[in-house]
Amino acid sequence: MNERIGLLEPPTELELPPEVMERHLRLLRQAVTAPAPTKRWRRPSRRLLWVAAALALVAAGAVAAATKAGLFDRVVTRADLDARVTSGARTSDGVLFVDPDGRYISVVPAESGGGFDPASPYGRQLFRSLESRGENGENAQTTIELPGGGTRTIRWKRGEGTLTVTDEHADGTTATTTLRSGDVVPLVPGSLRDQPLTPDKAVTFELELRPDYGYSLWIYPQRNEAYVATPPWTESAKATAVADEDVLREVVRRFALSTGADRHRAVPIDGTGGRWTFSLADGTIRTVTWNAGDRWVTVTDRAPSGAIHGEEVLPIGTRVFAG
Amino acid sequence: MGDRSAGEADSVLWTRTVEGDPDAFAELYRRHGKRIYNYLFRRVGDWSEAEDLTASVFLEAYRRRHEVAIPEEKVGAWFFGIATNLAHNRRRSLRSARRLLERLAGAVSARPGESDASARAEAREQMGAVLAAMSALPREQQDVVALCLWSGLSYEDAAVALSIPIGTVRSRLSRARAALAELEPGSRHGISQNQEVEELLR
Repeated sequence: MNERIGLLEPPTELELPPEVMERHLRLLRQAVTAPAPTKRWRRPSRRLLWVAAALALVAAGAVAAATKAGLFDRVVTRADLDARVTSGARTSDGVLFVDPDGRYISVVPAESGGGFDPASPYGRQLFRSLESRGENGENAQTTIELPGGGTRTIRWKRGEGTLTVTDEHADGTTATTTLRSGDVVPLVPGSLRDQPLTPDKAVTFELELRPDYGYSLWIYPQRNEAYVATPPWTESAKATAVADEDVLREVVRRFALSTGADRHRAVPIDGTGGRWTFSLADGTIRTVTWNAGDRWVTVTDRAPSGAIHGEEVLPIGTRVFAG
Repeated sequence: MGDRSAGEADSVLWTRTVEGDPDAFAELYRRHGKRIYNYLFRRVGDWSEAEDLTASVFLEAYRRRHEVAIPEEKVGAWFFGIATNLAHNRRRSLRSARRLLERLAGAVSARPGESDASARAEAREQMGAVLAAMSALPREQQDVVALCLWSGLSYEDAAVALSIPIGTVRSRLSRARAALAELEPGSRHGISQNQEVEELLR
């Protein structure tokens, strides 16, 4: 049907420019083989939330904070490193590494600092290295040995707020990526691969009742499971969780969580996926959905009238504040 | 991409895409990308935006792969439906698309080659005038004009794209034609700001 319609004759069709096609094809392949990561939500605070939480735990036994000494992780494979391209400076927030024991290490490039779980030998090594170099100024770097040979060097520039990770493998190959605020990665590549519930496989939502006070929710879309408060991965992580039932009840109420007996169904889940809806203080109705098997969740914001005013895809390995 | 994908029906390619086959998805893009691209250009009047939105159409299709049941051999029509929705929400769609593109590819929007530049500039100018005239129609009539008359979709495919009955496509198109017939002098007047287009209309 090529009917003409008087004056409203559009221009002749043109080809997609080859370079555009090439770029699109690359994107589509990434979409099929990896999640399409975009982030819109407020980033985790640039302040050392997790460090503060852990220190609070050690120093004062702050129960709620202890739960938030979460160990967030995202497996960075070679494909990840290849796919994730430097995107420029960021001046705030931090990146969380997870050591092979599931303990966190926080690096805040903008502050050339960070912190770590005191029980993490990797954290001690990393920051000892930093201190011994006397590089609390504009630039800093530290290197750890990788199993099987090779090294991983973490560099950050305070002024730019960027953090790069360079892996030099035993075979001489190298790969570099730039990490962004809110990213969580394993400190040692592949070290968490055999653990199905480490947070690199989850989208983590921080359920704060007020700053630094609340619990975390981990949604594992691939497994179609969601956990709240108690980290479901390593025993050491579970051990950090001493749930304050009063606080937990408040979190459950505030964020409309499920309170059933199944601890892996902290939000409504059926065989096809999950759908979690709660309201924000400004009246926005936020819905988080996923299909079982996906590697991401979709966040949709609606006005009370029902009009959608925001939608975003959050890949696994992302940590955001719920509202 | 092998010959296998090239000879397969859209529905087979889509099934393979849903199962995680990037080659199948790439083939679908090669088959439908150009039409979607031109359709989006004709809806938004900007080549660069059409490029980004084209990528978004396919990414959105993949994201929703488990949510929809596409009628047999209507994959292309479904892409047009997504494109229509993205064009309707152009500003938000572009914001989202460009964040995604930046994040995934670390690339800025590619510029067309020099040899293409004049043709694209001319097309853009022409399309601006056409869209100005089209704006007199209700949006649902613009949709059927753009799908059926500009992109050559059958009524059936347009119905799939817009999720409306075929009869509704027909009636909307009929009303659009009638409205355009009445609007023609005014449309011409509106377009006359562009001398070259005015010449073409004489």
